[in-house]
Amino acid sequence: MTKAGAPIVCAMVAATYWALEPVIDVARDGWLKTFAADLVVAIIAVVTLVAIAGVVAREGGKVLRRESGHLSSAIVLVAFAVTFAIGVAQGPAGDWFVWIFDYVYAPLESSLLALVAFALVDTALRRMRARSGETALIIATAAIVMLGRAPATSAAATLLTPVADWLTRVPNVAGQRVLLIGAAIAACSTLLRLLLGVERDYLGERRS
Amino acid sequence: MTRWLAIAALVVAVAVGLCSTRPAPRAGIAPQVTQAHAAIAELTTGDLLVLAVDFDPASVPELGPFVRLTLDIALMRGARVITVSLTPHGAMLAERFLREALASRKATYGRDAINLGFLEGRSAAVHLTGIPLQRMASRDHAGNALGDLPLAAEVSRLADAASFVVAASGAPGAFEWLLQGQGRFARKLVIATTSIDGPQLAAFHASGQISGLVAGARDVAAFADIAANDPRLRGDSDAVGHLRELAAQMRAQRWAHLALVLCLVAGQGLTLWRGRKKGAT
Repeated sequence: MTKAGAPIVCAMVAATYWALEPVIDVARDGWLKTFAADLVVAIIAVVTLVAIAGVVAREGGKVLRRESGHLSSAIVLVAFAVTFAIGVAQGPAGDWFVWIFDYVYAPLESSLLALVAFALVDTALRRMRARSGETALIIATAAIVMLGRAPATSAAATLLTPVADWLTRVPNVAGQRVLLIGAAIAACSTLLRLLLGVERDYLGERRS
Repeated sequence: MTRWLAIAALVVAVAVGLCSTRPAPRAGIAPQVTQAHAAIAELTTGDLLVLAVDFDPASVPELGPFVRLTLDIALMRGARVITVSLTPHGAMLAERFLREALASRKATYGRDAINLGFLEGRSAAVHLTGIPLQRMASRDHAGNALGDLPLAAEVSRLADAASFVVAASGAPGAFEWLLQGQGRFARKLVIATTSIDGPQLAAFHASGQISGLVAGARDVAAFADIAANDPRLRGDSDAVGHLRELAAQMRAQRWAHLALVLCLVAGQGLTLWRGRKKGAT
């Protein structure tokens, strides 16, 4: 078997299992089902650990080399070390860990996402331009849906609510279905490529 | 200069919304919200509800009241609740909501409800709800052994729940439960999500895969409105309190939306004016 042979065989076996799993009764409640799902969970957990190691190595490298932004990197590393140590020592329900979540993580995350609103109004005023009929239609639809989803100050403004609901229920559903069916067909095509051993992007090979 | 004008417009809009005490205009209640409420309020004593809390702290103003009200209604109806999360921060929020609900309903942790906490594996984690609970997890969020919790001994597997209720924003969340939970185990699935994610899920409600859909603060307020007037809940739920909380948030939200639309219109006007000025010179 060539060097790439083993990963290709693994991918083919996994693709075959997951393609047939919903229709194989034996697999539904048996050991194979548990084993396969456990394997996926384990792989995702390992990938998460690799990602964490990557972040630590990158930020640690910046601090050691005193590159620009090394102070921010040092803060990231200290925050990671403290949270990790408390999490391992106390578990996720420990008092200190809950304190970090309630008084550090939650306010920081909420503040960060609140800034998106400012970027959005700035973009609305300076960048979103109705340069063609299509963009004008998209901008008008966005305005109606925004006002309809959160009715404005008067009862008269709630007249937009049924229009916003119709836009969400009819044209939006049609568009979403096109996207979802397209994505499902693409997934089937990728699965077929994996089953046949043609799909090799995960090995770093480029498609011809 | 225009950037500062846009930022000032948003700040003024949110401040006006928060300071105003004017009641929110009542809009019609969407049928998918009525269906979501029906699926939760029809739970009876002993039914199992699996509640997935898959949103981040930033979405708490929109989805927090829904989760609190769902827990309140389920415990009031005598249902047993198991909360799970596909994200670590969701598990922390679930613990907070569950402890609050248990305290207000004088229910007991371990007998009436359990927080299983964070389930790693996204779609695979939902897939694993089909195996026996004791094999799926050995400990809850706080590290208690499941064998010591009476409710865990009574539940064979999460997939046997009467309903799955998912409160989610972004991924992983609603799609994992929809594709792996509803499709595989044919359970009733109620989804509450943010205004942003709502349109993406509308297609699944139209197809009947989602039993009830609550999207954004407006729908959560409608959900609380229905609960406040439901004779089955005998006016005993805290729906009125949640409605008051939501009213303040919705005032700020709708003024912010208005500011955004005004910025959009002003931006178009500015372009036209600049174009004419350029043409004249």
